[in-house]
This record gives sequence, structure tokens and C-alpha cells, in this order.
Amino acid sequence: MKRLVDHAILALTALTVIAACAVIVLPLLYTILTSFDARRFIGAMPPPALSLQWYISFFNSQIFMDALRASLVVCFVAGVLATILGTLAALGLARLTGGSALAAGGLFSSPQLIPHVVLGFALLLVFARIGIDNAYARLVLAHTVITMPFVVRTVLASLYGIRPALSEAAMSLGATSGQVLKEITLPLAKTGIAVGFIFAVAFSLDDVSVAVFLTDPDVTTLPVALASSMKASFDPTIAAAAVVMVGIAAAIVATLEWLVGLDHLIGQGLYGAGSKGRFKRVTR
Amino acid sequence: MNESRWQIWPPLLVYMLLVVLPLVLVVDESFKEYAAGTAGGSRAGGGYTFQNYRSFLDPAYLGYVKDTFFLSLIACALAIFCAYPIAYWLAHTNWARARKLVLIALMLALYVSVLVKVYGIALALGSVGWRPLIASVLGLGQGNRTITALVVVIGLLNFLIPIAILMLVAPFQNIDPSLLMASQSLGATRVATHISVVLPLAAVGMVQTFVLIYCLAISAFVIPWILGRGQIIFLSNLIYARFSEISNFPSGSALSVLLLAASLATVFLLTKAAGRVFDPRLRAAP
Repeated sequence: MKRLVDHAILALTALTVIAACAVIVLPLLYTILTSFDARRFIGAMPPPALSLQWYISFFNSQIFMDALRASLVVCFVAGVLATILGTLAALGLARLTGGSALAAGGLFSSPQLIPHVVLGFALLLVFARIGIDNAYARLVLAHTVITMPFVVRTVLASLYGIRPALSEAAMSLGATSGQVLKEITLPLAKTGIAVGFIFAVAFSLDDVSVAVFLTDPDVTTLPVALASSMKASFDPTIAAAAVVMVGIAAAIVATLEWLVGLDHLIGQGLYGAGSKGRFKRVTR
Repeated sequence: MNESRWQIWPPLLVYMLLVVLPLVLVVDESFKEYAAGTAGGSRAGGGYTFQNYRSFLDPAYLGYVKDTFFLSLIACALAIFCAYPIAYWLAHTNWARARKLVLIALMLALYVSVLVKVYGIALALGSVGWRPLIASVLGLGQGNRTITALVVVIGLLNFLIPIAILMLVAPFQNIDPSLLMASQSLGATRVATHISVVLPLAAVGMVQTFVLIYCLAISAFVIPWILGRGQIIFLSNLIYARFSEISNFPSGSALSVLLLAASLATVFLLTKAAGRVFDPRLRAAP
């Protein structure tokens, strides 16, 4: 009887897992297949023949190419700004203790708690009030703020991993605090900084809900342009553009894996599961 | 090391200007009167008013509120249910290569643009996809609102499940495996072990995961915007409509305050509840 319950639950679990995989994988498959569809219309799956026509249409579209260029400019500039500011914030936070550390830490992670639509709307009000009417400036400032929490978190994690003895030794040998920062802290934290930058760029590239308030008729980001055209029709050109963005996502994941290893990013836990025969890591 | 405290000031200043100030402005704007034809509210009609908040009691508004919070609740409960076994497996498997592959797939799912997912779901569950089949199974018309709600929930699931899995791995990993062995060697079945050992120990992590994905769900924008077909409208979509369609900033601000308050309340209440009910130290006490 007990065995029977075990088996029934196992079967239910298997069903759940299959359903979850279907919900995650099938939409991707549909988008990819549609982007290679040789038909001129959206028909039933699978497509009878394949072609690259929608990719050609995407790369020939003036609107989408302008949007792609704007997205790349915004994500790069905002990523750099967020990395600089986020690293400074993490350096400052690492030195704070008690209530002020909690308050500042809370403030710096707040953009992840505030619904992004609310933040986008609020920024729109501020930019209208202080008169920033350049869409690039608006988008860069907004994306700097919403991507900074990622940088703060990754840099802070790597700062906590640096043994205090190293900087103490340098100080006792006569180094100034500026030298310690340049020669010891920043080199040791550089993986955290790089990972933070990648997270920031990835997030900026994917944002719709903040950017949708800040674009103007001349300057719009690719995700906003795609979402707006999806509102009107499901032109397979959008699918092709979306698949190009999957390629960008894959490149980002590959870079993260190369930089730190995904296992490390997720953590091994206190008991080092999944790392048979490997050095047991006790992080945090 | 007191001399190097300057580093926190530039980012702090930026945050004051671009996070705190905007939110203050939103709250201020939400009490203004709406004057048609002007961007931003005006106080010409007699200063501050509660009108923007009072209109939430309108049945139409209550419908949007219900859609937002209720559909999110369903999606989050289902997401935790689906994520649970996968996260448990990731935390306990010794099959390093499979674990790595699944992690890569999950990271990809996390980083693939929401547009890719929404486009795929709209097609897969659209009129050339499975929508007619679902409609006939449920005995409803193809344009039925319930089916649209179902599609929005599936869209939210697609977005939330990978996040839930990745967040649940850590609490499962931190359970001492010897506890499980002890329980089983004393004669408990796998199911009994799971319910009496794993579940209580992972409960705090599960509540934290739930809080996070619930906040993400109620503030989702693109998923209900595209998949909702105008039949299902979340508060986030309504805020955007206040900006793009009628330029009623005071009403958009009041909606923003409502959504923000809901998110903060969720975080506050659930973390508090989690600390009270599921604190493992309390349970371990004799």
C-alpha cells in the first residue's frame, strides 16, 4: 500500500515535470519554427518548407534596425554607468555596518522590488518636470538605475570573498587606502564586476516595461518596437527578430559560464550536492 | 578606513534623484485633479483630491484588480508546484553532467527575452495553434475570456517556473542528507520522509520564493499586454494606458501607488509570516 502511494506520487511528479518542460520549451520551439517558415502567412505547425525570408525582412527593416542600434547603444552606456556606480555603491556598502548598511542596501536593491511599470511611469514624470527631452538620455538614466542592483549584488559578493588579511597586510606595509583599492580590492573583485556588467547589459536589452514610457517617435528600443508591433500583428519578422535575441541571450549565458561557471553562480549549498568528487565549496 | 566613505555618495545621489524623487512625485501627482488636454494634472480646480483613489471602488476597476491579483496567485501556486520536483532533483542529484545541462537550459530560459516567449505562446495557443482544441474541450467559444485568462496564466508560468526552480535549489541544498537517510532507515517511505523532513525544512525558502515570484507576477507587463488581448488587463497595463491613451497622469499615479503598495505589502506580510510560522529553530525546540 505504501509502495502504491509512492508510485502514484512518482507518476504525478513525472507529469508535473513534463508539463513544466512543455510550458517552457514549446513556445520557444514555435517562435523558432515560425521564424524559418517559408509561407507568406502564419499557418499551422510545422511549416511545410523552410526559408530565411523573415530574417532578410528583419535586417532590411529600417524601423527594427534603428531600434536595434538604439538598444545596443543604450545597453552599453547604461551598463558601463551601472557598473561604475554599482561598484562604488558596493565598496561603500562593504564598509558600512548596522542600520545605515541596512538602509543603504535596501535603497540600492529597491528597483528590483518596485514594479518596473511604476518606476517607468515615475521616471517619466521626473523627466517631464526637469525637462529631459532626449530619449537616449532618458533611456540611459532609467536603465542605469534599474540595472545597478545586479552590479551591487555581484560586486558585494566578491568583496566579501576577499580575505581582510590581504588589505591589512598591504596597509601595514605602508600602502595608502587608494593603493589598496587599486592593487588588491579591484583586481580581486574583477570577476564580480564583469558578471555585474553582463547582468546589467542583459537586463537592459530585455526591458520593455520601463522603456515603453521613455521612448519617443524617433528613438525606440528593439524590445519596445517588437512588443508594439506584436500588439498590431504577429508578423513572422518579429519571430526572426526574437530568435536573434535568443542568440544574444545564449552568448550571454555562455560568457557567464566561461567567466564563473554556472554551478558557482547557483551555489553548491552547504552539503555540496551535485559535485561528486569535487572540492566541497562552502560559500557565504 | 573611515577616509574612503566617499564612494557611497555618487550612487546614493543618483538613487535619490532617480528612485526616491520620482516616487515622491508620483504620490504627489496621484492627489491632483485631472484636467483633460494637459499632460500632468493641474491644481487649478481646487488643489488636492481623493478622486483618483475613490474611482478604484468602481466595479470596472475592481475587475482589473481581481484579474491582477487572482490570476497571479494561481500562476504562482502552480509555478511553485511545478518547480518543486525539478529543484529537488537539481539539489540532490549526483549526475553532474545532467545537472549542468539542466542549469544551462534554465539560465537560457531565464535570459531569453520575454518577447520570444510571448510570441511563441500567442502562436501556440492562438487560432492556428491549440486554442480551438482547448475551446472545444472546455465547451466555450474561441473568443471566451476564460480561455484568454488561461493563456495569460500559462504565459506567467513560462516566465515564473525557471525563476522558481533556481530559487528553490538553495533551500533544498541546505538540507542535511543524513536526515533523509536516517528517516528512511527508520522505516519511513520516501513520501513520508519528504513530508515530515524535507517540507518543513524547505518551507522558509518556499515562502521566500513565492513572495518574489508573486511580486514579479503582479507587476508583469508584456505578458498580459499581448496575451490578454484586451480582455485581461493587469494594473500595469492600465497604468500604461493612462499614459499612452488619455494622458491622465493623476489616475496613472494613483494606480502606480496602488500597485507599489500591493508589492510592498506582499513582501512585508509574507516575510513576517514566514519568520513566525516556519522558523526551523522554533520547530526544532522540544
